[in-house]
Amino acid sequence: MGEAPARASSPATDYVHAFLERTALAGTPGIQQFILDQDDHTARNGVNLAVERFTGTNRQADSTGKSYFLIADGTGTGKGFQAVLTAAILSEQLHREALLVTRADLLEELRNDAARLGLSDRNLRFTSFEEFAKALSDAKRTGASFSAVVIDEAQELQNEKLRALLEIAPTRNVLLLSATPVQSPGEAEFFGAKLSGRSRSQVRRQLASGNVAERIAELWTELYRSGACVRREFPFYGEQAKLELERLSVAQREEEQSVIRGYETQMKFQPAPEVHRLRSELELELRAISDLALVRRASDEIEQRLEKGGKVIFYGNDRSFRSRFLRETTGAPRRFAGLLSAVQEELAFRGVETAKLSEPLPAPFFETESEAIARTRANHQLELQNRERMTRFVDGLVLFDQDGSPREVKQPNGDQIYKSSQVKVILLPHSQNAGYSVLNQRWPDAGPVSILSSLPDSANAKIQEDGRGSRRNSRGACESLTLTTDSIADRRQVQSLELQFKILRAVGVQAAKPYLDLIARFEHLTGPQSPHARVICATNVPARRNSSVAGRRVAEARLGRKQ
Amino acid sequence: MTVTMPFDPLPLISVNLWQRAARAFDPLSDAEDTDGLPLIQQEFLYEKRLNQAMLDCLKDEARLVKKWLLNHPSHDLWSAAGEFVSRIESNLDPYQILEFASDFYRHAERNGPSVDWSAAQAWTESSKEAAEALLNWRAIHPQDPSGVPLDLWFDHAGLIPQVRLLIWSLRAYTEPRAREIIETHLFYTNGAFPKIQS
Repeated sequence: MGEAPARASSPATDYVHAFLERTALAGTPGIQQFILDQDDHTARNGVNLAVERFTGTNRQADSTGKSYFLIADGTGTGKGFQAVLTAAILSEQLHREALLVTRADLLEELRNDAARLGLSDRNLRFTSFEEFAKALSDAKRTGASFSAVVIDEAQELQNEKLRALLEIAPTRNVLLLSATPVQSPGEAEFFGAKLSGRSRSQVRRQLASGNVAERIAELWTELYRSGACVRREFPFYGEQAKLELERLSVAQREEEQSVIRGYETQMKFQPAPEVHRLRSELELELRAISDLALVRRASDEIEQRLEKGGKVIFYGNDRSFRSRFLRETTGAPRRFAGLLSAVQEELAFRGVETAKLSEPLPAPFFETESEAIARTRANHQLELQNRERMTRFVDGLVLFDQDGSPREVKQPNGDQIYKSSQVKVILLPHSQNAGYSVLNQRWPDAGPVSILSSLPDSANAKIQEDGRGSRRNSRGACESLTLTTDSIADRRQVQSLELQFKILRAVGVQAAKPYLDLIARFEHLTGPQSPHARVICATNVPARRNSSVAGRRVAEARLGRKQ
Repeated sequence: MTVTMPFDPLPLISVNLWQRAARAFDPLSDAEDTDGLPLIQQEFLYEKRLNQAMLDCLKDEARLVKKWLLNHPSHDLWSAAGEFVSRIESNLDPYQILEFASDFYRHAERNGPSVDWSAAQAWTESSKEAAEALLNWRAIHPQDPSGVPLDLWFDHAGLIPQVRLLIWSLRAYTEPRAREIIETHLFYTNGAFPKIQS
């Protein structure tokens, strides 16, 4: 499969330099550091490439006149700086405000990036995705247009409404930033169309023929070559490609088989939707068995690292589940605690204190006002609790303000105060892998940090966890270890992740390579022809072929037709 | 083997209402009301408006074909057009079309992991696959008249694709895929699960 190269060449014009000269910003400490620290392969070059794309002689646009550029740099390569500096340059050149949009929880961070570069007053407007429509509506009312719309965390554009809003945004220039913009054919198609200026249908047709990963690789090679996007990455600082496999015991395998047999019996003679429902429940149950098999191994690995004076960040899911078929000795349905809860309990039993963060309650599709208030309150409490637990894990001296928000205590001269953390293990849900900047501090006196994780739901989560983790709270290189089992659930998860990593690799994400190596190792260790692999196939029968006779009769009656 | 060609109302009514509605649809019309809501809720409400626009289009199309029927009693397509109108008119239960899938999903969401929850998930997931397949098919067969309503999908399968799939299926009933979608929908709406309290 072809691999798209990251474009590293520089445009002829140094727009950053020219901007600094024109605006007399060169003396600003933040800008100075930015200029001194960056060379052609990093942030400054990205800004120049973006501005060249929008204002150069080879400007390419789609049918609505919009030109798109994607900065797909890896985590921690300074996308925030590139976002605000590109916006400031375009705003200054085109004499119009630039609109920067990001996730609500990252808005402050983006504003801080602007402040650090001395660009806060440079005609930049910041808004969250939640308030994007209002910002565009205000612009429509006043007839305003933007020099550029900058979308940070552009992977959020899988949201249908955001796509529609971007389509009508009053601007000719759209800068997209995301470390993992593409993990599915649908996303490859959306970004491919925007960046190439072709219609979605044209790109769909291109991707529809033959091997999808190969087609995506071809498309993205074309996009890099045309200068529509750029991608650079920091190499992982430490040991990354490590995987440990825990084999299921005979009893655990028997549980898997027993659950599968139970569901298969229930699925017999059921109409298609019911089969679909039972299959999704079976997946949850198999996942629970797999997670439970990992608890002891994960706890052992964590303990080993603590004995060597290290700290551990452990990522996993924390979903509890009640089995439909397995029973406790009392005869009651067996309940599975989530993986993180079970590891916490196991470590507590061994005398190891841990801090476990909780997932906030997700917003449902629809809620009443009182439900929204209750959810917001509950999430606020969870957030305070999470922050408090996080401060117990990070080194440094952190106190709480009256409103409950943490504040780092510094020396009178502004230097940080080192204080070894109270807790050496933090248990984080996969969904909480971003947004805790306090984890990014480095201390010369701190011990090594290990990132351990179970298999996440998405390739993006894995890359975020390791990418952020490699510069977390560590004095030096850290390790990343993925813990798996040879369970059916993990095998299925690996299959799904493999496709996502292949797509990421196809669009030039070098960080995907070590994970594809890990997947190959997993397959080598588990063997492709085990009886379990056959069971996976057996439970994977396309449900829609099993069409509903009863449903058809009702349909005929309702629609007044006979076959 | 006889192949039934899908009935195409466009040549009879001489106007592509779907394309017109797609051009007129304004994503900003509820900007004030939805400002600050969680993204998932904004997407849900946006989709609801889009679904309503699709349903309106289908109704208007049936109305125009009905008008055409009155003026062309001896036309070759008269009986096919009549079937089209009666099929749509007799199945335009807005609750069944627009609300059931969302209510079912909301009910499942509120009650947490449960039988309803996994059913709602499974129905939605299989509908997403079907919607994606339809979009792919549309990209390869842009001239096929059955694909016309997909202009209002704006190249997206949607959060709860059951609704847009059903609207498409009522219009393109002779398509085998449409039959399958309707069968699945009826399975869920005919007492397989308790009536959802909205």
